[in-house]
Amino acid sequence: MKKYYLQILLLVIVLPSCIEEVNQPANTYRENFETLWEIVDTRYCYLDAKQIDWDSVYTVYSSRLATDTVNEIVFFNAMDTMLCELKDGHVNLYSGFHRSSYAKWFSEFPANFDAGLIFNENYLGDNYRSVNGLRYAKIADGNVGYIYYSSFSNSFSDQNFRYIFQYFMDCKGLIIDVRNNGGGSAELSNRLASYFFQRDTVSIYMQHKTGPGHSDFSAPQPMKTVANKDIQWQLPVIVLANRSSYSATNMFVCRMKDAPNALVVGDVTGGGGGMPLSNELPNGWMVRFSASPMFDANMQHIEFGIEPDMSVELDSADVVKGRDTLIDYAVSVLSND
Amino acid sequence: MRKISIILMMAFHLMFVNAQERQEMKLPLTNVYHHVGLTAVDFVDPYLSVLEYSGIGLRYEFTSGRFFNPENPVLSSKGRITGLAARTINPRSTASVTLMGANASWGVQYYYRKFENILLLGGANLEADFTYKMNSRNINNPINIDLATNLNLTLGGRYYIHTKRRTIQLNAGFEFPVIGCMFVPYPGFSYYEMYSTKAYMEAVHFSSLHNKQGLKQFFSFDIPFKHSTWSFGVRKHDLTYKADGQVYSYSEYAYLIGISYDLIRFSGRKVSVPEIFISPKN
Repeated sequence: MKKYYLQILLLVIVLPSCIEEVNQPANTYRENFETLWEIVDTRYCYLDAKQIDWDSVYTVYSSRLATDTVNEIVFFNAMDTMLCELKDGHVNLYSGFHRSSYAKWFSEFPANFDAGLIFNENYLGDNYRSVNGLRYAKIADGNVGYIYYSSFSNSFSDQNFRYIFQYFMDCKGLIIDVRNNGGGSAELSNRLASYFFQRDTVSIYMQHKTGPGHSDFSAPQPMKTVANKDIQWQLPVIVLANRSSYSATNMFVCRMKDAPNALVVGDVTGGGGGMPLSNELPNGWMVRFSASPMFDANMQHIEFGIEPDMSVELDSADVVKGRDTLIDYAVSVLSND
Repeated sequence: MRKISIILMMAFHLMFVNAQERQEMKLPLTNVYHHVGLTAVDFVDPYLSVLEYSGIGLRYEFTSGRFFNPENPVLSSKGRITGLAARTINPRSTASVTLMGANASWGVQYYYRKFENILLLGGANLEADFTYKMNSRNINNPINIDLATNLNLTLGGRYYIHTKRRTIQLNAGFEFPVIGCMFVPYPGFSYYEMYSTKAYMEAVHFSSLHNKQGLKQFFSFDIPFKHSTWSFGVRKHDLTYKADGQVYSYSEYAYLIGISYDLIRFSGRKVSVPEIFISPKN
């Protein structure tokens, strides 16, 4: 019996040592750099997919730390430059004086959108309707319904869409314009897509990190687009997208690629396929980064954008005439259906 | 008439005898404590931040106890419900986390009365713990929820100081988790993904001394008055746990003031509790 007591005593002594201490990083330039680098190293989800040699990045930025720490702003700029190596619009560094961001995911590509055009008399005009960020009107002599939705941060309800679809009931088809929609709520992107599905469809898979390694991921989890049982648009629908269709909008376009009667027109979307999370540095700055990668139904990363079904670019000659090439193309397709 | 008188006399006699016997029978009382106080909280939650957050809050505690068998008052039940609301900030004061917690437990305590003026207590309880943390600055992961159930071992003691007018009671209690399970999502496993895929079980971990160590300490002194007892105490709670390689820590230090009384109603405000009623407080 004494032997058992001894074993239990030993267990009680040994087991508590299984947990290491929580070490708080010090607020020095070196520790801030190390913490930022480590957060990305252990938690950022696209290091392998983008073939980024993050150890080399460490070597480069660690060696120049002496010159990069003249003051807080120089250090911020250096860390911003380091994060730009990730080429990810979901990566931001927040300080009390600036929020860094990587813009090349859209700035190096044609805009394919002119906000002035959609408000002229050929499209929305002056008498368009507007509810919860959804601006809509009948265009092309009342034959086509047109909705411009600029942000998935503007929440809408089923009731909004019940009214909108009733308003467009006698139209031949519908255009949903999500160009320059930089994203917002993933749940809203799911809800908007749900009106265009007759049955539940898996069009997105998601993984999450399960460890600090660059390839430590969970099994892909299917994310269903659940068909809305009460409100459904069953006529043709065309989604207009461009390079500035990002994040939740990217998810929406990905879902709509699998919707029946739907066509995606325009440019490749900007991407933003990683569900972002945030963390902090010892100096109180916050870093946001992609943490959970998402894939389309063919298990392709949606971080690099969604290809349109029909690639159409905004023609500068049309712009001069006050015409939007993408909307006109969509109208011609819907009118011919 | 005579018969009726005899029957009535017999009935009263029986009632009188029964009442004499009932006075011998002891009855259990439920003793309760209500404590409120200020608390200082520190925690590290890698899901929200690598930094330690510190702040102050309010704590409320309700405890109740009752002997199972008042004829042999050595084993009592002990229930506890607590609530916590606190606001914490990171070391550079650039972000805050609002913390809301609730905890409920139920267990048994053994009373060991072999020493004069000293009572030793030992037992175990089952606990359900819930904490909601919100870092409003975080954009996509502003919230983390801690859920845990534990089997805790409890140890304690009371020291009775007899003064001329009353007996002051010094209490000490210790409680530590032995085994249980906890809900701890890996940083990167978003609540959106959990909600969309219903894969909640992936965040549930078995816990024991190998990955969860904690100690709740409670010291108080109780000063009895006529119908209630005032209680002044401090509570310290240290907890460290590990899941998926991530180390979480929580530390709390609370100053509490409270009142304790036995749940019983007698006619008249100045009537003392008869001695046949046994309270776990004594």
